[in-house]
Amino acid sequence: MELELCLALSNSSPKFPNLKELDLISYVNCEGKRFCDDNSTLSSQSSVHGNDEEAESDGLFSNKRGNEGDTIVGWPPVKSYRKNFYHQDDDQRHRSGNFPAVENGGPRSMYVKAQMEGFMITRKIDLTLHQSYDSLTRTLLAMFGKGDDSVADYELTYQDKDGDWLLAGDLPWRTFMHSVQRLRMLKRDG
Amino acid sequence: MVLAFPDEVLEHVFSFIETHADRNAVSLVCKSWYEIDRISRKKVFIGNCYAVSPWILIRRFPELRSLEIKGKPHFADFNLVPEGWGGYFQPWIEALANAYPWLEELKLKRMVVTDECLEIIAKTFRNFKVLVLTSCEGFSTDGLAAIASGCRNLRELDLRESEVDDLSGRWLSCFPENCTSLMSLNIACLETEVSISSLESLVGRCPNLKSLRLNRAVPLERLPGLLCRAPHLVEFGTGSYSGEVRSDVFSKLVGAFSSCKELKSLSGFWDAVPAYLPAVYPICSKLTSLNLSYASLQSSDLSKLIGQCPNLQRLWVLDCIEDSGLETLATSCKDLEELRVFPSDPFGAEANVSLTERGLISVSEGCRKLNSVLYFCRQMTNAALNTIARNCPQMIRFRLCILEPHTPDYLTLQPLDNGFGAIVEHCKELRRLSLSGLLTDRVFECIGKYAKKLEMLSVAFAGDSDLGLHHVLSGCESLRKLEIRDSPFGDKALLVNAAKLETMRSLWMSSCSVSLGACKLLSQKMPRLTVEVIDERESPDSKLESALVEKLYAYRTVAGPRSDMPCFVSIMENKNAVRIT
Repeated sequence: MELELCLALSNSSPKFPNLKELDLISYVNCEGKRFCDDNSTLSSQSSVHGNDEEAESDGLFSNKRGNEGDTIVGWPPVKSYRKNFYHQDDDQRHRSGNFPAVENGGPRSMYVKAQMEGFMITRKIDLTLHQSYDSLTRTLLAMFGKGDDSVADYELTYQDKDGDWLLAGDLPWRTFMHSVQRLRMLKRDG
Repeated sequence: MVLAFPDEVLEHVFSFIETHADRNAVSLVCKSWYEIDRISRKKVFIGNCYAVSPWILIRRFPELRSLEIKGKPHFADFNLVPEGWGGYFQPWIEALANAYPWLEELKLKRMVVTDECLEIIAKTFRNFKVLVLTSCEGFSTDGLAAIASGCRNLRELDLRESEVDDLSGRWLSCFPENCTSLMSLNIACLETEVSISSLESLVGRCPNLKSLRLNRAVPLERLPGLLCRAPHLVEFGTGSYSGEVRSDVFSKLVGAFSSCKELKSLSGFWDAVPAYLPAVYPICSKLTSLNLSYASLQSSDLSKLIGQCPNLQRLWVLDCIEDSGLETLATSCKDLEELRVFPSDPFGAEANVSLTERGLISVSEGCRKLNSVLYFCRQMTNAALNTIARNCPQMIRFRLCILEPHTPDYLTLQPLDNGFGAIVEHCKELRRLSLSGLLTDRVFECIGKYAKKLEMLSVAFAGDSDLGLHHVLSGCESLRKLEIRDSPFGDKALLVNAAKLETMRSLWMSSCSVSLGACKLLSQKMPRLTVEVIDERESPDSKLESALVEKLYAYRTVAGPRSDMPCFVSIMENKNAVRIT
């Protein structure tokens, strides 16, 4: 018994007849009528993709979001050089002197959600644009409108793959990158 | 007795026919016209580098001077095409170098261009004049050094948005002292500093320089020195437009801009500081094009600037302009034709600026010549789209990007089918359309019914079933490029409309519902189509016919299947593949 491992929308083979004898016209005629009569935005059972349209379109959507820290590849459709520009500060600009493989469809961006204590809005930050905790912290502060002088007031914490919240800084940067799921800046006590 | 014009006369007449479409039409009239066009043709455009081979090109057109080629599909701009997919310029340049020693122009888009390619250009073509590399990659500043030092009659070097391995800025100093031919230089995409004094010297000795776009590394204080040496500039792109506010720098800048009496287009403005914006006020009344899309400024500052540009035809700006700024635009710039509004925070969870559908409505009401729109926003309504459609029946390009997929009309919670339907119904000249928001098959029914001049359609997270795709493929008579992602379109629509694909340049479908079996069948049915299955996760050999493919890229070709694919690209077998050799 073979395992079918893929991002399939339907587990069974498509319900339409033999591929060589497609007759979309008649399909359109009967299914189309049903479609026009049906006021709901989702076609009921006429689809070749199985029954639950809504879950499936979310499935497409959520599959993409699953792993890489809540982002969809290539969405919104903003070109790499513009993406880079939004989060840049001088540090990053001078550092990324060599071939920017990150922005070019190679190792992709890695966006994680970031929150700051006292702020309702959650932001997203591309970790691949950073190579140190320092640069990450400063950029986060800037994103929430805080200057460099606030570095001492906040500490960076992160949620790892096991769901635990830890203080950032102990792990080597690359290990941290593989482990981090979310970020949170907390006010330091005292 | 048959009277006929001598070939030389026909050739002379044809020389006045310039557009590619017209020359192509001329070549189809009869054999002798085909032949005359063939031997006299100077410029060729190739929309897909894999649709034809260098040898077919060379054999047909022996006298080319100018070639424009495009490589990767458009979605490569958004990282959907894996690195290493293809689009290599190397085989082309090797063939071109042998065939066209007098080649003057190369314009490449989304191709992989290596330093070696650039070196071949520099060494081979004695009269090389124009190099435009749009969204290309694979080369470094070493390659640019070769071009600078080798191309003695270089007129244009334009690196539009290319990814350059920026090793050092020294390449610019490789332009020899006797190089005085430059008319256009665009280095905006480069990161590292070039020697400003070399730049000043170069600019100073090229009296015909009309277009100069600097990179971010050029500081504001050095702009006056450059502008004063190029008083005939028509297009200028600043570097980083920021710095400590100093009145001496400011007055020098004002003077420098004022001395450029022909300046019509401004861009750059990285890190723009409001205090220095008034330096351009003296020339605002002549501006027809303004690109502020790197300037994170407040709406009020942007409004003040735009309010001074009554002749503006094109504006690119960030959404910081907000609805209020767009109202100013609508009142001040009655000649506006093109508007692009980019997101300042595309990945933020919530809106950081007050830019809504109202901004676009204002512009559509005030700017009656508006024909090209790219608009990123977070909310839209069917009513707004209806209004825009009725206000702008002359629309040619309409690209709307609502940041969150599946977003409905925020007032009625309905899909945006009706709104986009109005766009295609009222805008009968529409050539390009990008959809977003919550959309059902109904919108595609409208598109198939009304969008008869539509050439390019981009679809993301839309539709319910194959009917959607079927409507588009069967209804859109002028369709050339169709790109779809994350939409439930599949085998049926594709196979029933297989013949349509040969009338188009290309079809891209990723994260849809197309099965491997359908791809194979499509390829077998259509001998002049290359059907590529792109899958980085696993090889199609190990998959069942019913398994869905990750990405499908199908395009017509007379060159047969390409042979430079990486391991993650499989070309579906086609025993009847037509290959012109």
